[in-house]
Amino acid sequence: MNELDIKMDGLALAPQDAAALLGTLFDLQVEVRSDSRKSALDRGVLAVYGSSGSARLAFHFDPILAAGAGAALTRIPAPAADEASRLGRLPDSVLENLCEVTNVLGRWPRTRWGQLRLQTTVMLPAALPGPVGQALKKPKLLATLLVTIAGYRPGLLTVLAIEPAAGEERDGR
Amino acid sequence: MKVLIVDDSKGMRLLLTRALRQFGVSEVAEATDGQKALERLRAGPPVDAVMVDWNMPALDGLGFLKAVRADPKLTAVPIVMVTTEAEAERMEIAKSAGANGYIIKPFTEVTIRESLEGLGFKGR
Repeated sequence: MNELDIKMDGLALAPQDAAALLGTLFDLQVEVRSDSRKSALDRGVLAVYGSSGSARLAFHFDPILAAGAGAALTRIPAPAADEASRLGRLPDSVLENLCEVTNVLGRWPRTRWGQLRLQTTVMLPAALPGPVGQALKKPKLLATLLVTIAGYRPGLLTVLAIEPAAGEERDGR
Repeated sequence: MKVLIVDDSKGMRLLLTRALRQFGVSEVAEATDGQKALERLRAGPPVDAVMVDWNMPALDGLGFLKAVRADPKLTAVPIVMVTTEAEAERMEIAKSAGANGYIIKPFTEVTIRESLEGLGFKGR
């Protein structure tokens, strides 16, 4: 087992699996490795995943990664991605691409709940109700990863656990 | 060869189009959901194959697949699901509903080629 593997109750994420998924999706070299920095979670893009109607996990893309990953899917030039991340607003084309990236990343976690499915992808800042909003206010960080897509600036991907809302069963079975 | 791509993601339609062109597909039509794809098929002109996502608004890929198989004029058109749904149970559901192929995203051009060749199409 890779020492970078991320584990929590019922969940395992291997960075090399994310690199493989993204590398195939973009048809570009992608590296994913742990990073000691912490992202500002009030900016960027949040993708929320769940099973059986319950949110369980979120991936936060910092503005650089959000712009770069959205751009890389259809080879939008890196300078355009840099400009989007600098402005803090993603053009519709980049955001739409990023939604597909987040959709594919739903295949990354190996869970005892089966495949997690993308519930929503939100550009931040945004008012998010319930457990997802709580996860941003009091984040339970599972990992911060540096994602490098060839030709684009490296950016941070933060993995957040979503605590179940009151009354929700944690394991969903 | 003419192929209809059905996916709500413009980026994914672009990637699929590239892969299909690489295979030698001469004409690609696009639809953004199952309902529009169904209307496109019924209106014609006919296509040689359909590549359809599963999760889409209006009518999802499975609903589209069932509707096509229930339509005597369309039922023979080969349909390949192209989706992030990777669980065996989902694949079995699609197969039972009449899918001729199943590709899990992300895909490579080789995967697309092998799928089309598996349906009997010859690339360049």
